[in-house]
Amino acid sequence: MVSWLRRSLARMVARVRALRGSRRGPRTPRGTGYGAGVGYASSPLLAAKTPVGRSKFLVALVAVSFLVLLARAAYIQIVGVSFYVHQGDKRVTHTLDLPASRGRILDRNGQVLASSVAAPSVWAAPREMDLSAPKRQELAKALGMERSELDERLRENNRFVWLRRLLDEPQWGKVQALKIKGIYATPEFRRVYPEGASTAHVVGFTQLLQDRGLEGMELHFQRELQGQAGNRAVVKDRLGRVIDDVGEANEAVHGRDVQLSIDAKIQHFAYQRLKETVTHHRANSGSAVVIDVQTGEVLALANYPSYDPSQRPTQVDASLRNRALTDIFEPGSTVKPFIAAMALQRGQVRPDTVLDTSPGSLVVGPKVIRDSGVTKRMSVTEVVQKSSNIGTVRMAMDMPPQEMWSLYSQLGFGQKPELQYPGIASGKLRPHKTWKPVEQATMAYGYGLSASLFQLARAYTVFARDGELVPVTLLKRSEPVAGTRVIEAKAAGQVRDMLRLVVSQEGTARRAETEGFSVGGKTGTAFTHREGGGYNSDKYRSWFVGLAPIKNPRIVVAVLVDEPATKQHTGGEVAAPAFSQIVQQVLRIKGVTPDIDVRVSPLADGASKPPPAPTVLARRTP
Amino acid sequence: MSWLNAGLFSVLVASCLLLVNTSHEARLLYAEIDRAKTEKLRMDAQFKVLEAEQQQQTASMNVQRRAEERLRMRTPGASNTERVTDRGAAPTAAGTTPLLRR
Repeated sequence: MVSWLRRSLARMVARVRALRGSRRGPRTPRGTGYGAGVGYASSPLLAAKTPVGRSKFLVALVAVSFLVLLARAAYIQIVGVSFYVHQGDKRVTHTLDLPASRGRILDRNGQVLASSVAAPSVWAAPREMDLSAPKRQELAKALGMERSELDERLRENNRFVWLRRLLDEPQWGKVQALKIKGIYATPEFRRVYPEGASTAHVVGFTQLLQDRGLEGMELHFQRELQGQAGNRAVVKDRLGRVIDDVGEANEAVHGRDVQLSIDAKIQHFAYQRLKETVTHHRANSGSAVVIDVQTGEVLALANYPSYDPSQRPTQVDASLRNRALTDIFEPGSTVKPFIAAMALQRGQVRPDTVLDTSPGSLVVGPKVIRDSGVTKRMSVTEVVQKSSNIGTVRMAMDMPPQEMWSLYSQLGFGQKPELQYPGIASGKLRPHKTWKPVEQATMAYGYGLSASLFQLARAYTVFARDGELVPVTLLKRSEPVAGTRVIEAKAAGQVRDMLRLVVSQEGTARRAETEGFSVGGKTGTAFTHREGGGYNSDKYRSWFVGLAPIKNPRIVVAVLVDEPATKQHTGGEVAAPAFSQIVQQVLRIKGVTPDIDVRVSPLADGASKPPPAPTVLARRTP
Repeated sequence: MSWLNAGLFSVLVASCLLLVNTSHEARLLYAEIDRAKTEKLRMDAQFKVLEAEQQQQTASMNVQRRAEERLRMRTPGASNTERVTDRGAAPTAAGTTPLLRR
């Protein structure tokens, strides 16, 4: 085809030359082309007749070309339209992610216990970067890393590398100010815990880079707290500006806030007192629970040792455990008031009924049960006040095992509390049919069954609410709730009066006395279990569970100190002072009017000399 | 007739130019709105960061530390409370005065 065209052209040129007698071609030498050169109108070339076949061929060629173009246009516009539309969209349409933040966890007053804040994660596309050495140094400094570390990261991948995750906003501003090409940021969120260690066991924590709760409320309310990211399709111009939306945006749904019943101030105070107590007595650990008896709300649930949830503990150790809910112990003497209440309700005894507790020991089956330092006969009130094992066993042995089991069971022992928290322990309470007489006897003073500190605190609400067990919650409730009757009101009231006497000169917990408020409660001191069976005779667990104010109880407070290493080891010496301080602070925060004159025992709070009386004005001294 | 055609053609060209200009301005305004929305989101995020910082500063632990370190305050208790008698006050039936003041 090409050679044929060449030959035709050569023939035409030769013909023109022959006609003009010139050696040059038909080009106009200079000027307009219409002047001195060949007049096209009179050009013999144009005047020459074109062969018909050639004309037809050219027309056909043009027609076929147009047909090809039409066919191609039809293909593009009709057949392959989706492909081209997609390709076009790809170049101008972009999908933008709309990040969703995790819900906050608040205390009962709206104080933030856990919150998510925006924290950009910086990444780079090394192939787009052209970094000079000084810029590289500046970038490393702005990112807060060593130059060598930055170099190493940039070598990892040519297209995408994370430079720093969850950067602070000001730090990201510094990186942006460097105006380095190929550095980008992805919006992410960092979880912060303003109250730190004091609320760590309640709130829990999340994974650092993922929106997933690992412990505590963060885990239990994962579904509610978790947000759902959205996206929107937009059209961007060549400058990267959004100029239109494509379709409906899939809006991000932020996580729901969860408001707890915990009071951050009370929680902090309980934690501080616990920390001081554990440190002072060189104990292994300690726990404290505060329950509002009217609403069933848990106002504080503190444990020591604790951890800082912002640091995201990576190793599972004992400090992560919410001991008040997950650790179970034999409650010791703290269950004696329940036996007394049951005996009163059954009509077995009255508060002034005298029980034979002499000579300080009692044989039940193969076991000798002893009272430490108590050898005289005593009334039921004194049995509770002085924590007599023998007196309690005498009352318990007159009850059918089934009734005793039923009482413990109704109080919640051996059952998981219905609380919004993961991994709560249920404790142990064996079926009454398997009890031997000696086991019934030991269970009366708190050996042979186990419960968590929280279960014990909850059980004590029966004394605070005239025999009703309150349904507890870790979520804000505010309104008083109906309880479940376990003990008759009269018996519960009588035991409450006995608990008041425990915190008196003759009782076992004088150091639980609280300035300005009448309190009542019960001490507990139990041996710890030895590995391989039996008990450690030199290791103790000290409890105090009580209520205040005694005439119209508002709160139940339970304190447990595990293995105090000082000479003092009883619940009255170790746990009661912490109880006293916590009660005083909680009642002040809740605005409860003091119901007794300010008279403080010289033993309370470690004071060495008795205060002068009468007292009017209290002034703090450093 | 040709004048009419020319006039119609001019109107057509003018309306086309107006349409192009209007859509260009619409896109600019849209871009402006989008920028404002992005700025709002950024400021919301910044507000949350500041709120979190404020919460951190007012957390019980910080308040207590500052009260102890700067103001030398202590938790009141029997060991650090001095009691004095108000001779002018009338005693209660219990023998002690009812006033409790901190």
